[in-house]
Amino acid sequence: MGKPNLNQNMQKARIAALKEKSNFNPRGHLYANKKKSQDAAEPEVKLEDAPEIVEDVKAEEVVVEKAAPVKQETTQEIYDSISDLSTKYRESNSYSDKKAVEEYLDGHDMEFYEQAYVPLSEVKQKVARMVFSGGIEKPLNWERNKFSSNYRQIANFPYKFPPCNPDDYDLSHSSVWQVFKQAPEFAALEGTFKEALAKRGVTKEMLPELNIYDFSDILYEKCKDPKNMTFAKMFEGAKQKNTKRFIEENREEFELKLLAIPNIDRNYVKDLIYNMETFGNTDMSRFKNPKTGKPYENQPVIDVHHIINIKDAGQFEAMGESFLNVNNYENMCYMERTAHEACHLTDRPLFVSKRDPVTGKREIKTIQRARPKLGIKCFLGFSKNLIIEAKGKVIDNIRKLSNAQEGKKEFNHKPAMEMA
Amino acid sequence: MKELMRLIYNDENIGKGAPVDANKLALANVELKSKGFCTIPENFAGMLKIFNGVSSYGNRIFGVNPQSNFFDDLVKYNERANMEDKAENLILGADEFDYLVYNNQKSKYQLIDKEDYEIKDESADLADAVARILKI
Repeated sequence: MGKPNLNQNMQKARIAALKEKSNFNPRGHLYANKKKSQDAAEPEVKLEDAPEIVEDVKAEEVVVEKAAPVKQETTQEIYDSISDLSTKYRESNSYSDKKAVEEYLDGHDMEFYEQAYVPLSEVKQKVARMVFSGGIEKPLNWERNKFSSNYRQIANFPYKFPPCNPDDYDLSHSSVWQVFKQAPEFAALEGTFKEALAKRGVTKEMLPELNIYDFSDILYEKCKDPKNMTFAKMFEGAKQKNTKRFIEENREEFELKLLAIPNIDRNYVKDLIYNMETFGNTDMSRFKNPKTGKPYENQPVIDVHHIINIKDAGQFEAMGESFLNVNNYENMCYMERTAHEACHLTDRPLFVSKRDPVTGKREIKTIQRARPKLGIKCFLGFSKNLIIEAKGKVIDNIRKLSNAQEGKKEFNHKPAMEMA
Repeated sequence: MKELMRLIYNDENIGKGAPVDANKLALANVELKSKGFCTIPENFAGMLKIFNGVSSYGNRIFGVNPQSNFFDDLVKYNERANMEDKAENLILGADEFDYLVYNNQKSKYQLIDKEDYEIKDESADLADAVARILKI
């Protein structure tokens, strides 16, 4: 093979330009072809119809020949760059370093933002987490120290407290139940709550005093499963439910994007989709490669990412919405793990007060975060070919959240500093 | 601890890494020490000799140089996380919201908020802490 002649070079450049104009996508070619066939209104670009392109190619020829080959960054390199830039910004707090983070993320389909922190009560944070995971966690030592004084007696000496009658309780007297019942999953379990209280020997007079840790223990004792040690599954969590919906709505596109990833194992893709459809689970660690009988290796790990973090769910309340919207489908993004972790590298709370020496707790003033650009539903890697966009109403809802974060009119909150 | 190991072993929904050998563990400890971290607590190391990495619904217990990328490497993860007071705290696992951390000053396992490092709970019992992270 000799050196290609000028005509061959020109021909290659023309084809490249045409492909560029017709959105040809070499890594995601399966998806690109599918998209083209779906979109009949978009005419296919032909060489003879586009003399201006040929001119463009001629004009750019010299540049093309002189340009140094562009090395594509690997996911790990992008992760390291985000890590370096965000560390630099963290240390300097300078405008130029902030700009550098913003620009780098912007070039990698992510965005960086800062906003005032809107606190969410501990009860609400806990309930939001329970709705996400679909169950109750058993309080361990520190949380047991937070039991209300009367309930502590029951927890320490259960044999002294005989069961009560479930029909005696009026749950409206409990402020914690008022939070629980905002979640339809828990509201449907009112009878279970009453039975749990009765079983534990909680008198109706104690009900108003019970806190979230008491309730966690009471519900855990009622619903615990001998197969588990510290977690009682009560319903299908938002994590599973949303994953099933995602794969139902995006199965074909998700599959094609995954198959476009170099070195992807087709069996892995098949198993992953099965796991998501059947169990609402993206965790593939238990699956074995049928060829080797061993766990899959070097395949993309998919995580479920809250676009707005549960800790920031106070923003929904500031918009006049339920804090539980944090677990809605539109607030979820399905992300490849390294990209997901890169996204969290910039997370930083800025504090008002010093750390409490006992609990380690500090009051947060402002938060800094990164997220995939709004409208992205699935982020399989740092490439346009590996992104699935959200559809319809989902985008509208996400835009609303974005407006809220930018402090537009429907978002009416006071920064934590003012409240402190 | 035996009960936890039995539960993990019998649960088909949990991913389990193949056992790590003593050499790899020793090497990991040398590496951790050289990077200013505390070493792997003994009972956790005992667990890794049975399951080198555990994962359930994305909630993970890390392993040492695990055979699959579905299990995180404890040394690499700690390096990346660059947590405050790293000489005292070693991250052993994580769920969506919290880290499972071994505090070698107190010889306790702690559940610590990933973002503001608030201590959520603490236990001397590894089994309870691991079960809490894995949601089992």
